[in-house]
Amino acid sequence: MLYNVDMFYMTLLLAKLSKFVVTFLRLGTGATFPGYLALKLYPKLLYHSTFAFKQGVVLISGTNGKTTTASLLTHICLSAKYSVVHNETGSNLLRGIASELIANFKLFKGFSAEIGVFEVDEATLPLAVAAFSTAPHLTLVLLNLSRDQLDRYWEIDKLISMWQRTLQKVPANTTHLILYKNSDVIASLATSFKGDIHYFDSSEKRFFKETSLVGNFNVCNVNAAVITGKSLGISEEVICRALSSFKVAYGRGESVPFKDKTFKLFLAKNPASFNNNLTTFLEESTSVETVFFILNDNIPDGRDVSWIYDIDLDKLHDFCKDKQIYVGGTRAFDMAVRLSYAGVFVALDSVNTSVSFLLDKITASSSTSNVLVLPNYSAMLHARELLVGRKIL
Amino acid sequence: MKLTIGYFYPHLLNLYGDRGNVEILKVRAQRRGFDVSVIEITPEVSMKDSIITDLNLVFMGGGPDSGQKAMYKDLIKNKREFLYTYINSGGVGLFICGAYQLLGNYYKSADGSVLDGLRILDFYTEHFGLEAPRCVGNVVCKMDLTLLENPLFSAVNKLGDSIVGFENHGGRTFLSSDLSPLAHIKKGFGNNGKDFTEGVLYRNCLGTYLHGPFLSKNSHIADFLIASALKLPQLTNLEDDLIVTAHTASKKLKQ
Repeated sequence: MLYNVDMFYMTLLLAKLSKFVVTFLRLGTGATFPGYLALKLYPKLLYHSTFAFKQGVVLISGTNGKTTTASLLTHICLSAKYSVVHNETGSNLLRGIASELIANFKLFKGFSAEIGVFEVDEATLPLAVAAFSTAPHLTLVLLNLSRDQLDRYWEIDKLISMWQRTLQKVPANTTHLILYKNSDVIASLATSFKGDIHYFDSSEKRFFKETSLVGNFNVCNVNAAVITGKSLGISEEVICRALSSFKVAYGRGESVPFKDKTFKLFLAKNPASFNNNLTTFLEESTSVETVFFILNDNIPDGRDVSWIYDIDLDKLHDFCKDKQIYVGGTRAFDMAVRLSYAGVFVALDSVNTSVSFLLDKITASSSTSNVLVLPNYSAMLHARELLVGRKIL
Repeated sequence: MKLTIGYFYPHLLNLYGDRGNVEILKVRAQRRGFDVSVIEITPEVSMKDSIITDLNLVFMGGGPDSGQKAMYKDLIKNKREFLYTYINSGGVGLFICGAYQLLGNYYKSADGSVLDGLRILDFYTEHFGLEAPRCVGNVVCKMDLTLLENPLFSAVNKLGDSIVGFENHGGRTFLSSDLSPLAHIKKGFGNNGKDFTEGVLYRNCLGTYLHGPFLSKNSHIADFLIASALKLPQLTNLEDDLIVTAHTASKKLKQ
């Protein structure tokens, strides 16, 4: 028993040391590696009683909207004066959650937090639920499921079965489920769960109107965060105040000034998020002269880029009309070919795997001041690093 | 002159951008001034409908288990006769992944259960469960001489002898010795990870495991399908610089 306690604290110490080394040597931001190392040394780290949340844990999962919903909910909880631990870097595998817990463990004060708000990768959800199922209160927020990173998951059917099995096993009396009503796939999960369920959909718009968020797809994210906040006992008054002071999560409609131009980053990592963004831009006639697509195929992005042909052809064509187009990323040429099949003119010299090369070109152009950037996941992190000057993850 | 594409089960079988193949065929044909019509072949469509006689190109993509389950009975019962005659009389067709597997004799699952295929082409597919890794990754292969030396293919080929794409399948396909593969593997698993073959080529029918979508960077094959379907000896050139660059770049991708 004493050995186990020592092993746990040794692991925390080593993990914290590794974060220092990683950040000092500029190898990363320590949002993933410390947790990875710790879980290798102490696999049941997340189960440890040290990481106790007095008011419970909220796990948020789904294909799109996790980061925005988790950020909104965290902001709501902080406005209600709760102490919150939240993986705001967006590192959402177990190692990301572990890294966040380790970062919040203070060497002489230990760990103390009232609420844990974690966005969780869809395939990791069962593991995260298992780790936190002994929390006094566990809330699961399930937003949506659509095809994403198919070379990792290869079918939604398999994810759904995993989630069903998880819901069947979770303790119903201490778990609360919050589901998106308008998705047959998500709503069908209700039959696997015996505890309390609340639903949200996009019919209520007043909470969304309190925020500065754009895009109809964010109505659901806001409503999910609101209903979860209410389930935690937070008053509507506090919630609304939080909504109006909320600043968008990085890369999700974030505006970044760079040189003398304004770059707006809209994460577009799968057909659903791409189409949602295009719909928003077309409806709100966003005034941009330049569109910069960035497509990577690194591990977090999914290595198969075939999904770009599931982006709505007409929306892509209509949105790109009369705009300067640049295409970057490891799979820049695949994206450029896709655009050209959609009837979008792309000049060969505006296509390059090097994002910094294209940024130089864009900033040198005098005919543009507003640039819309549509990157997928690792592309967004890289573009952001170039524009803002520092890493997130 | 009209390209009439029979697109089988477009909503049930579109696992990952495979519908892009139909879009690409349509655009490449239209850019040469041809009319294109896409007929969705669903369980509700009878192959005896008069419109079916107009089909000169057939396409079927891959799908998730649920999609394949939903169309299987209809395919075997109501569509087999048409496809058998169509393919054996030189009809032009492209079949991807799960659709490709169904052209064969059977599919044997990891648990030993056997699903009958359309039995149009002599091959079978087997899933080895946890004993073998899933075949996932970027693929580069060299097309079989049967295609490369086909005079019509030579007339439209502006890209060379390579085929590129991305595979993602658990089933491993074994062709009978008298069937020609579509290509020979340089990088990737291909049909089964053992004999270095990829896909199948039988008359004007192509089967492949490759996504990408398949025709996105293999414009030479897209043009071959169009020319064969329209029975033309050649096609006018299109501005394909981006595609050529993309194809070349794909050859250097890590598996």
